[in-house]
Amino acid sequence: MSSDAVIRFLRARGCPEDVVTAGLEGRVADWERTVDQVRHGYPLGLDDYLNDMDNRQLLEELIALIPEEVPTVALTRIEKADRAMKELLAPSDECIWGDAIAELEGWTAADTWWYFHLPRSPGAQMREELEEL
Amino acid sequence: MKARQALLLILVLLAAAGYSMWQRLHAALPAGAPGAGTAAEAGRAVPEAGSGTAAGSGSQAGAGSARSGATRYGAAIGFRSRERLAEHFAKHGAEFGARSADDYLALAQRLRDAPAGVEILEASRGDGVITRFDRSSGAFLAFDDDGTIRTFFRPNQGESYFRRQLARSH
Repeated sequence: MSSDAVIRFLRARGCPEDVVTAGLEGRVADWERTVDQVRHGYPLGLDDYLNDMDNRQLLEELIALIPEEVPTVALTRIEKADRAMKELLAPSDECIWGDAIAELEGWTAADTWWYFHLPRSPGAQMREELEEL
Repeated sequence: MKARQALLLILVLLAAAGYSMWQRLHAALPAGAPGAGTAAEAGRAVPEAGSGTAAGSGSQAGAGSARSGATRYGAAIGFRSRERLAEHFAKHGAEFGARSADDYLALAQRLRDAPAGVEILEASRGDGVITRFDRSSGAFLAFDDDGTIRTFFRPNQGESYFRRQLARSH
């Protein structure tokens, strides 16, 4: 069950209704699924990957803006997933959304590492798309 | 010596005539035909790298983009392969309540082939990929200019994801 504060936050960020309804638990579970997908060779493309990293960003904002709504058990799960994810990634030359957007959003490699790394072993679609860049 | 000079002159004249003929033929070829040159040379609209162009997006609605109208690619053109469709359906099918990969594909094709406007925003990215966002369903679609679907999902951050795509540098 999501708190009203979490629902309000997700709605204000423009999340679709199923994401709003799934609340914090949904975001954490989604992040864990993403880590698992990257572990097994991310099967989709860069557009999907950016969306998955946006989910991690939502978690970060939830932790920063309404920490009282993020229980310790959720924080522990996020930290565990983060540790696993970092081992699966390699630094990118720039923000994966592009440096112009990073500057606009105030993202840095130190604070929002998920926007500055790419999977070491991406699947076929992402590999092809990265080669096209 | 004079014979060699005459031969050289003939060769130069033949080369000039050949080049002139090639130029006339090249100009007469339709855009896209082999040897017809690039899209830019042929005067077709080419999105500027890194800028993106939007249609149906507020003040830019209907703004002269070649992509602002509907192009019906039809049911024959979907994801690049069944395997790729299966991967995308596995991840995103539930977001749309799609019961099968074919249901999911049909929804993606419907968005791709619908006319862009106030509800369906469209933009051409710097890499030539066309993106769409359906404001009513929250669905995002990316496809190549031949209609091949790259992805179809509901972004976690809704319309702002689509807007950010316009400013993407790659």
